[in-house]
Amino acid sequence: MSSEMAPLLQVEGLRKWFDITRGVFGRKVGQVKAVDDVSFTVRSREVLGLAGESGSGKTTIGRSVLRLVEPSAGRVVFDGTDVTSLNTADLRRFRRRMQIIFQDPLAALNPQMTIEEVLSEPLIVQGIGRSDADRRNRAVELLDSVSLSSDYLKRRPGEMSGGQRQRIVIARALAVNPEFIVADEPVSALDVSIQAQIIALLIELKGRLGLSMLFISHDLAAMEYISDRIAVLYLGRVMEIGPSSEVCGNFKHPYTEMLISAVPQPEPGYQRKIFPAGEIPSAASPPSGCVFRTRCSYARPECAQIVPQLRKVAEDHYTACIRDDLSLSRVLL
Amino acid sequence: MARNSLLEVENVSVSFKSAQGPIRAVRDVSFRINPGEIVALVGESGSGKSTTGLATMQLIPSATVSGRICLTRKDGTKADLVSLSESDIRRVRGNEVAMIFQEPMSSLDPVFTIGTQMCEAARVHQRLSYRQAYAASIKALEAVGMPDPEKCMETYQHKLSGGMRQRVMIAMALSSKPSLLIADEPTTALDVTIQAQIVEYLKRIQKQTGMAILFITHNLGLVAEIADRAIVMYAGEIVESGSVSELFTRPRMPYTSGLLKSLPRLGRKKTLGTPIEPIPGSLPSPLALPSGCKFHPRCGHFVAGVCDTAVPELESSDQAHQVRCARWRDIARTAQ
Ligand SMILES: Nc1ncnc2c1ncn2[C@@H]1O[C@H](COP(=O)(O)OP(=O)(O)OP(=O)(O)O)[C@@H](O)[C@H]1O
Ligand SMILES: Nc1ncnc2c1ncn2[C@@H]1O[C@H](COP(=O)(O)OP(=O)(O)OP(=O)(O)O)[C@@H](O)[C@H]1O
Ligand code: SF4
Ligand SMILES: [Mg+2]
Ligand SMILES: [Mg+2]
Repeated sequence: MSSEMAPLLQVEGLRKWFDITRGVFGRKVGQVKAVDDVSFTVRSREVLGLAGESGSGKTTIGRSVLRLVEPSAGRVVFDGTDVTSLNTADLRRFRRRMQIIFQDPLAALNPQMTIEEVLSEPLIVQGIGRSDADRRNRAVELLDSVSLSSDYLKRRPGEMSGGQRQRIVIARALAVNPEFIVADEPVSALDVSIQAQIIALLIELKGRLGLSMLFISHDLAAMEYISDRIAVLYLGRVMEIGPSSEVCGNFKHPYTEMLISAVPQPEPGYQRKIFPAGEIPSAASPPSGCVFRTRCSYARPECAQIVPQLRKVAEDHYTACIRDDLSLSRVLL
Repeated sequence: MARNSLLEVENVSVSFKSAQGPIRAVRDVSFRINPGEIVALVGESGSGKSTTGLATMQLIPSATVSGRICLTRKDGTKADLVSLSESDIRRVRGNEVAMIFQEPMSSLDPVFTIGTQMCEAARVHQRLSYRQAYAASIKALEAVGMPDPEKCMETYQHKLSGGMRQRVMIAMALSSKPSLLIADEPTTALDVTIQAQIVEYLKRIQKQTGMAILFITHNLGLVAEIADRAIVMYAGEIVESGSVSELFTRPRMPYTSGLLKSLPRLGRKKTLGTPIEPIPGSLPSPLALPSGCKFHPRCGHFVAGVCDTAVPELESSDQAHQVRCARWRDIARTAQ
């Protein structure tokens, strides 16, 4: 997309089809098109949000970028290097630059380990720090960067609150000084008052450490808040991508309109103008043409024939809908 | 007012036994629900919302429940659910008060079809013939927006999406025409699109039948959308209650206003640009509750000797608006 500088991350034509197998011999009976021809970029120091209903392919994209799942097709280029063609040894070295944070901090942390051990582990794996003392200093520094005191070094995950544990998970991801982080639902499992703390922390770290991020979430309000741009996914495809305030306030795709209008607003008396119809179909048999057409109130017969390509509607703002005659409801106040 | 209330919860406390001592999960909770009213019970994880809902249904045998939970029954008589016999409470549960949960999977039986389960329930609770039960079930599924009710009757729960399962649960819960539905985070596990559909059906059915709903949630957006009145819980106590418009525009308790300020608002980045202000600290453990106001370690208005001594009373601040904060008058004055 239009930017003079080469982006930090470039995803081109990414596809991940999972085989559906049956029986003891694993006979292949079909394919789940989890991600289908997805392209986007993440610029240096930029946060790109990935939005979309459950099953739209957000996690699969995040994991494909780090090659935690093998893409079926397409390229992932990180800072000029094609990640998709790296061998195992090079990939391991590369992982130092790209980290991932998951939804459930309790599952992500080994309950037997002290926080000092949790934070030292990636340093040892990546050969950072010469001595235990070095690594302890780094661990204290990391705790400080997520606003926890060094008292926590000797604690174990079970002795901390959910928000504190998610801070530890973030600190561990930061241990190796990554440039890029995939945050997969990092606040979804947390309490409302704690979510805001973690979002504020991520924004602060982004500014201070110059991090780039892929921010995956169900919470569009939080996503708008933290992201520079947002990509809206549906059945493994990008429906719309653009600056976050445009995607949330001046959207151009009927699916974005449906998704945004579904979000409950903490404003008494707020009246929803659009009602979401139907449910997301199975990714094993997506509709022909525009995958959203079966739920779209603006669909025309042509929508079943043509797979809409992303079309530019404004600087940096693209939509994959063949209808350029729509004026979508400005659902919000 | 008390004359025509449907449910009166009075000084209810619930405690669980644990190896480290009693967990006083809900303390001295009192509230009232009028017929046909939608009341939201809102609070963060562990604040005691589910425990309050379950206590109302008398569904926590492992806990000690004290206080009174007075229900006006369909025949006009009043009954204290806490002291009702097991067989009487079962009759109340089947016919007068129904409950739905976050995870409908665990409430449905995997080995029987949806139709078998629905018809069986209708026959037992409403004493219908099989044919009547079948027709009633189809109608109930239609009412909750099930796209193909006949087909749904023949399927098993694992073939249904989360949203469809929740629709089935709502249809079953409502089949006996309860006067009160307790909905414990019924849409929390669902996508916002499906949540919007289910909330819409709940609101529509509520209007048609005039039943009351106690809607348990942690989502303030949903509270604004569905409820007439809201009760805010923190660490096992009610800290504020009032009409939704009062609570959102004039919150009195620092915890409630803190929650509202920590919420990112969709579509407002450009227009408002107001930063979110997180509440510092975290929720107290139920085994180590702070003295006085349970929110005092996190509160920006805390004054030593005032907030950390006695537990503040739940006081009326305005008409039908109650707040539990030792300093609410001072805070309200300086806010003006
Ligand atoms: N290992 C796998 N094998 C088969 N199918 C898979 C696998 N992983 C994911 N899928 C399927 O791929 C699709 C996309 O899944 P993915 O987890 O990426 O979605 P998501 O957008 O992250 O959803 P959620 O919001 O629920 O986390 C879904 O249909 C899912 O069932
Ligand atoms: N069966 C039980 N035994 C012991 N403690 C319990 C039990 N059930 C709940 N508790 C405790 O009681 C307190 C209130 O729990 P409750 O489930 O009512 O909270 P909640 O507000 O519904 O939270 P959530 O939003 O997580 O559902 C918590 O501290 C919880 O750990
Ligand atoms: S009583 Fe004190 S600590 Fe509690 S909310 Fe009021 S001002 Fe804050
Ligand atoms: Mg996911
Ligand atoms: Mg609960």
